[in-house]
Amino acid sequence: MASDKEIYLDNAATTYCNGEVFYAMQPYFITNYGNPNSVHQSGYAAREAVEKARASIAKIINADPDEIYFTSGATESNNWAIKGIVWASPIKRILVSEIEHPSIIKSARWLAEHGVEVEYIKVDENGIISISDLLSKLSKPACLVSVMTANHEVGTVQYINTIANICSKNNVYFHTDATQALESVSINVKEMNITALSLSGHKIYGPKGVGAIYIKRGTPIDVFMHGGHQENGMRGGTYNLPAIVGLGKAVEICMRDGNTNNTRMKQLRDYFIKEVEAKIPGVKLNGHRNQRLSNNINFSFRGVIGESVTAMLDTMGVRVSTGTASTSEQLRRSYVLQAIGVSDEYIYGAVRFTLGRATTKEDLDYTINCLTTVVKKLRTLSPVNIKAGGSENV
Amino acid sequence: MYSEKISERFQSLKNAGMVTNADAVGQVGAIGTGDLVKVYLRIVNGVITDAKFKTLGNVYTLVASDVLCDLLKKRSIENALLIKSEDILKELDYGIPENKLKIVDLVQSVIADAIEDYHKKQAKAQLNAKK
Repeated sequence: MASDKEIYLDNAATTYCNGEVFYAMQPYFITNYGNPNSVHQSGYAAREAVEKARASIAKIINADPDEIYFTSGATESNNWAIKGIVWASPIKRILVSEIEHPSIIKSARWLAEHGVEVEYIKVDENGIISISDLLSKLSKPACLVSVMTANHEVGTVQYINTIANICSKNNVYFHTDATQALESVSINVKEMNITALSLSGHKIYGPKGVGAIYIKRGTPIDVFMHGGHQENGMRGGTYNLPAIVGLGKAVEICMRDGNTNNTRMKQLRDYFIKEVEAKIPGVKLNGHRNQRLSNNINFSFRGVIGESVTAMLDTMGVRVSTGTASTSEQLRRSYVLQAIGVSDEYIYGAVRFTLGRATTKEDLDYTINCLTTVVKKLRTLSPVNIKAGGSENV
Repeated sequence: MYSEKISERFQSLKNAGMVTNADAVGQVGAIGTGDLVKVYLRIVNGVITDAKFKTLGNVYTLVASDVLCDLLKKRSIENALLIKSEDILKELDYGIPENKLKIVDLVQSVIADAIEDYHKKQAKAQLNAKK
């Protein structure tokens, strides 16, 4: 029943570690293992490697190196950004979009339980932030707005520049979670007036367990991870040296190859969308058709359940997801799809395909064939009649 | 990660489909909740001789529906009502995770709905016969 094929289309969950990244990291496990905080030659060499990675990260978003702090990943960066900024501010009110990653949504809920006023900014049917809702919510003082650069489930890319400018004009700090977007969306924190930005290693072909946060110089923010005097006392914990080196290298590769990769993936994405829409009836593309990540495709299939589609594709060697890995295990109804107003008939039938640097057109052709078979098969098992123009066959 | 038993069963669902002119049809769940289970029964002299299902649901819902149909076959109506969620779970070697157990309860609840439908149909037939 298991297939020899291995087609990985879940690159929004995580990516493989790029070979160049892996080899760049290797010496820092065995030979150059010094603690960057030590005051001897081993420490200096390690420190140099950390600062080189920091400079690369600063460069990709046009920040200064001293505005970059290393973390354990985007979840920590997101927690730190929103909790740290609220704690340091006299204004205990924040606005987050209703389709943020759980690390923002749950942090916001936790803050709400601890006396902070939290409001959720609405999105339209494509997942784009409602500017009028943002403006109306900004009529009351707030200390922070957090809107992700691109959504992890439906891939919608926000007009970050506009949102950041609105925040700046209203004297409100602006944080963006750029985890999914670092390679495909160009970000300039200085020009865009971004206060804080989160990013992660394992979504950009770097190692897992490492990320970073950009915090604009002079922004009042409390320490989140208390410990030693690493990162100017702002983030305790021994540097994860090999992973930091790997993150730096992964970012360098994004800068070097990003345009080429994006152009290729966008073509593959559009090909996949066109083929699926032509071959399978009763499908709905979730998210914005054009304003979306170059590697993201999210389709809902009427009359079937996404989890069954992913399970059957898995046996054929195709790895996809019903949404965020952590969410689909617990909550069956995606809050992102609910926020963009996907109807009951389509909400459970969603499947996310996220392409990667290794994806080929042949991979997609095979996937489309499997998908056509799987959806057809599941529809024969389903009591919902998709031919009857939407009515339930009961 | 699905257990071997569940994966195997999912690969070869034996009882998917419909019974034409079924003597009883049971239905529970709704599209809006992501689970819709429908069973079709052939009942001869008070004994279930055939059972089929059509289910909108995830792997567990489909597999549990398939197992239920196996359990229903050759049982009298009275005996069918004695089938518990536990019986379905047992057939699957208890391979359904705790947070999905409600699915099995939903699938089990379709029995009562089908038998109710059978009684209604019987009553209607008797009424027609008297006329």
